[in-house]
Order: sequence, then C-alpha cells, then structure tokens
Amino acid sequence: MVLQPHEHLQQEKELLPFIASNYAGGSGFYLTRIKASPDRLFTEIGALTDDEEEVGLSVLVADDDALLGDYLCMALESLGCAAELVGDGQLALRLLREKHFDVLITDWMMPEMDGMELVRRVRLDREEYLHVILMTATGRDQAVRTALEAGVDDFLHKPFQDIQIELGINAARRVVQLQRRLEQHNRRLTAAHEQIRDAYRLLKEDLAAAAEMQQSLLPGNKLDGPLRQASTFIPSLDIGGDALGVLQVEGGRFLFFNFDVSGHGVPAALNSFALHSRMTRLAPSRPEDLVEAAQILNEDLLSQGSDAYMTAAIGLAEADGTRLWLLRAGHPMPVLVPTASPARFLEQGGLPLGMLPGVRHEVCEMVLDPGDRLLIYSDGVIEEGLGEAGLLEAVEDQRQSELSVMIGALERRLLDLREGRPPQDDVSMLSLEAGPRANV
Amino acid sequence: MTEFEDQDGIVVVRIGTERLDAAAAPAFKKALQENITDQPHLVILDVSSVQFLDSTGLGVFVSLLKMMGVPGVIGIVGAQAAVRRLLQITQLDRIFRLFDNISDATAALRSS
Repeated sequence: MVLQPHEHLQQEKELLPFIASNYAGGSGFYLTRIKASPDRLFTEIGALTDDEEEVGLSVLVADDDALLGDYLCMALESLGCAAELVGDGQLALRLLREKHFDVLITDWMMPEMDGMELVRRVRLDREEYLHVILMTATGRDQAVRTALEAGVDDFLHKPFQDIQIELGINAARRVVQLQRRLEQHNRRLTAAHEQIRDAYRLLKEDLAAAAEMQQSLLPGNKLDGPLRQASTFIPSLDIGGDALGVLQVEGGRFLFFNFDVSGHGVPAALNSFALHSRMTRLAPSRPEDLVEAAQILNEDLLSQGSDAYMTAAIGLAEADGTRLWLLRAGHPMPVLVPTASPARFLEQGGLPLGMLPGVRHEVCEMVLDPGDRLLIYSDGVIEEGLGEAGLLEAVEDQRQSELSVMIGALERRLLDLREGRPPQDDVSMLSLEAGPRANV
Repeated sequence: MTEFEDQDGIVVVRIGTERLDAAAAPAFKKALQENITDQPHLVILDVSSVQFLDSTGLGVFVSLLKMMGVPGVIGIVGAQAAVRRLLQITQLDRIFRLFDNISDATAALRSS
C-alpha cells in the first residue's frame, strides 16, 4: 500500500500515541515537538520538501526469512529506495564493508551472527553515518535498551504494516539528508580551514622575511677601536616598531639612533622602516643638524595624519670617542656610565616626534673619558620588568664587563624577569663606549 | 566604557578601562570622536581607573588635543604612578596639566 504524502499525514495523526512512544527512546526531538504542537510537527517535519524527496536511500535488509525480506524490499522500492537483501549478519557485514548504504534494516534473530551483534560490529567499523533499524517482535524495555546501547536508531515492530515502514523510511531520509548536508558543510569547512592555514603560513613566512630584513638593519657589535658599540633587539611580535642604527657620516663622525614608533606589529614596523631610511638619508653630521633632522621627522609623522608618533634618541659621536651629542625626544632617559662616578640618567629632553607641530629639541653635549659608556634603549626595557632603578643597578653590575657582555646580561636579566613570557613591547638597546686613547 | 559630562563648558571624560593599550585605544578614540564634536577649549580626562597606558593610548590623548585645536587645554586627573611616569618620560606632563581631583582641575582650568 503506497500512500500519498497528504493522505498518510492524516492517518499518522491518528497514530500519534504510537509515534510518541516509538521515538521517545531514540530522540527527544520528536517527543518534544509532539508535546508542543502536533499540527506544527506535521507541517514542519511530516511533509517532505522537493529537495528531500529526491534523496534515494540505499537500504540493506538482513533477514533470514527470505519471504519477509522480499516483501520488505518491495515495500522499500515502492518508496523510492534501492534495496538489497542478505540472509545473515556475516553477509550483511561483508557487504557493508564493500559498498555504501544509507540504511540497514536487520532482523534480531538470525543464524551465524544475530542482528544485535551485527549492529555492534557495524558501529565499531564504520566512520560514515548509517541509519540502523531493528526488526523485532518484542517491545520489552530491557530488549529495547540493549538495542539502543548497541547503536540502533529505530525499530520496526513485527508484524509490521506498510505505514510503519514508510514512517521509518521517512525518518531515515530526514536523518540521512541532514547527515549529507553536515558532511557537505564539513567538507567546505575543511577546505576553508586549509585555505586559512595556507594564508596563515604565507603570512608567517612574510613576517619572518620582514623580521630578517629588520635584523639585517641592526648595527653589529664593534668591540675595538676608539669608539665601540653593542646592541640588541627583541621584537614583541615577529617584527616591531623599534629601530636601531649606527652609521658613519660626513667628517668621520658616527650617527646613532634608537626609535620607538607607537603601536606594535606590522603597521609600526612599516613606519619604523620608513623612518630608519629617512634618518639614514638625512645623515646629520653636526649637532645643529640633529635638531633639524628631529624637526623633519616630526613634520613627516604629522603629515601622515594618523595617530602615529615616535620617541627617539638621536646622537652623534666623534670617531675618536672623545665627544658626544645627544637629542632625546620623549624617549626613556639615556644612561651615562662614567668610569669615575656612578651610572646616572641624562634627564634633558623634549616631546616625542609627530605629536605637535613646531617642536624644537635641545642637544646636550658630553665629553667622554676612555671607558665611559652611554646606553640608549626603548621603553620596553623599563616597562617589561627592569624598571629604572633595576636598569641602573644592572648597568653598574656589568661596568667591568665588555660592552657586548653587558648588553647580553641586560637582555638576560630582562627575559629572566619575564619568566619565559615573550615581551609585550619591543625591546631595543644600544650602548657606546669610548675606547683607550691612541698614543699621539 | 567612557563617560562624558559637561561641567559648565568643561568636558569631563571619565575613562573606565584599566588598560588603555592597543586593544582598548580604538574604542576610546571612537567614543571621543562621537562625543566631542564642537571643539571645546577645556577637557578634563579622569584617568583614575587606568593602571596601564601604552604608546597607543597616549597617542589618543594627543589626537584629542589635535581635535580640540589651538588653544585647547587638557587636564589629567587621578594619574596613577605608571601613567604619571609615562607622561614625565615623554615630557607630555608639560602639555597636559596633572591634577589630583576634578575640582582642583576645573578651578585651575577656568582661571587659566
């Protein structure tokens, strides 16, 4: 008996108590909907949409009663399913391993391997979804529970009527349909995930390349001669907004600078690259040129029209290490380590660059004795744990060490204080030292 | 959460966040842009809740000054040690005037 959808809906309403009890064990969803509003249940899930009607299910029937099995297959075919019949559990298991089925309808009592054992094996075996319906003559609670635990989704009570088969297949169709959609979504998600992973990998590679470029701009250590230098740079992300530079300019003097561009990561780094390059091209070689260079950078940053600004320490040193000029723009106070007196901060300074127009900074001049040191650094050094007092103390502790050893020790002390957590702000340091005087 | 109040021509801005950093600064700046529209001359920033201020947060203070234009004056009230120190290092304590409480700040700004 094949019913048209509308006719069988009408009949199903009369079977309501049966449906409720039939699905109560398997799915709270059905029971809840039935309690809420039977009419809504049928309008929402009873009728099949065009889309769902197209889902042809492939069904494997396992039953040692060939007559009953054939009858069931015919009923399934009339419902648009492709059905195949096997006579025992072993055969069913083998076939399920060989080809795809959407639904398994199995008898409980069979020779070789019974239905319950078949279901258990299938559930262990298969990763893809299979809707399992168990044919049974018993409705005892304990038997139903055992079946549920084995992995049965639904029951077909013997002796069964066509309407029961149709009801069971409709339920299976909806679940299989949902399952297929879910698999499709998962495939799309997996593809999207792979794309994102590829994009992320590319991004990481780009960042690593940029970080390498940034590292290549750093001044190396120079530990002999009349003017010595050592530096370190730890970006908070892969690349950072700090810049360090030392270069020889006109007249043999050395220009040195440490910038800290506001913000972090790529935007700060791009700005930092640009300002580093600008400073290198300006190449001020006299103290008054330092003032002008600061003014130019100030106007450059202001003309960007963004919130970007930077703090900077910019200086000049005589090649013979006897004299030094320094301009501080909002940057942390440089530390002077004279051989003859305790380390101290140099307080003179002005506003950061890129905040307000028309700012003019002053330059302070220092005469160096052999062994005197100067340290300039970004605020990460202070903010990331050392503090101002800690920095002075660390510098004093390392006064007798070689310049690069001192920088290494400062870096280590900072990282130890952070107990392995990477710094949240860029950390950069540059130290200069006057070497012994050449004999004249 | 940023609150705005007009006290007889002085805009008082209460900053609710504890960390005014790169994560919080964009929302703070947007709040300022939406609420401070007619170029007030006097603004008081109450930062007593702020325990951490970084370069991005500081940048928003400066952009507020730019929004106000000349001759705008910003008073900062309730700066905790870390905030005060950052303002000193960057020399911005010369641009922003620091006060302990709002009544001191309003009195001083009015007479300026």
